[in-house]
Amino acid sequence: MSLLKHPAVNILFISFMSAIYSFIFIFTAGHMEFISILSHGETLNSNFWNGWSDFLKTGNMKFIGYLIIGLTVVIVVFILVKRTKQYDEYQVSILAKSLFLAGVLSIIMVPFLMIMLLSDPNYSTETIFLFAAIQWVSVLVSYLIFVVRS
Amino acid sequence: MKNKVKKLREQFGLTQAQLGQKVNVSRQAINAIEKNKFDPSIWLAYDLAKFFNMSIEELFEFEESERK
Repeated sequence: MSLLKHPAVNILFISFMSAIYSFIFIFTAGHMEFISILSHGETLNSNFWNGWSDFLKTGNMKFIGYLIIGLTVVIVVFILVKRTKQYDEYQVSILAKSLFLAGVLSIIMVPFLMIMLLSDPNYSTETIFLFAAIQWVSVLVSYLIFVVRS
Repeated sequence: MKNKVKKLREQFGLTQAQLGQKVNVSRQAINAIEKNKFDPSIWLAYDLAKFFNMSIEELFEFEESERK
């Protein structure tokens, strides 16, 4: 965890993960093969899931990718401008706890995703994208609050 | 871990930020230590004790703190 002391390590980690997430959200938006996965004829009687499915089908998920890039840029700029020295042990403990929580949530979500996939595979792609969007945007917002306050 | 950091800091007429600068940590770290929300490492405890010119045992109240 001592690696977290270095602002550069935090910048690299956040940037690398955000690059992967934003690439997925922007690249797959409006992609023919991706849309074909979502073409299940609204078999579930749920306005929320069908609305989310339509949101993905129309390629609007690229805006989530742009949001991720925007948040990441703001975080990196804040770190570069505000952070002139290493994080202290209290700040490292907060960062470590946050990463631990994000990791635990990811692990817990795996069986839930499997249950949802098994109960209705038609909506599995929507479920995975919803989880990915909520998870990484939440991490970025938490991180932004942290860098603004520290 | 209970401690006398807040009491001594006020006696020295320092803000949390100023004490943080003296021992090279953030104001938030000092605040968390004072409120017993964060147990400092032995190195930071040593720096704080040295700054207040006392021993770690005098600054941090091991006897009165809950046993970990």
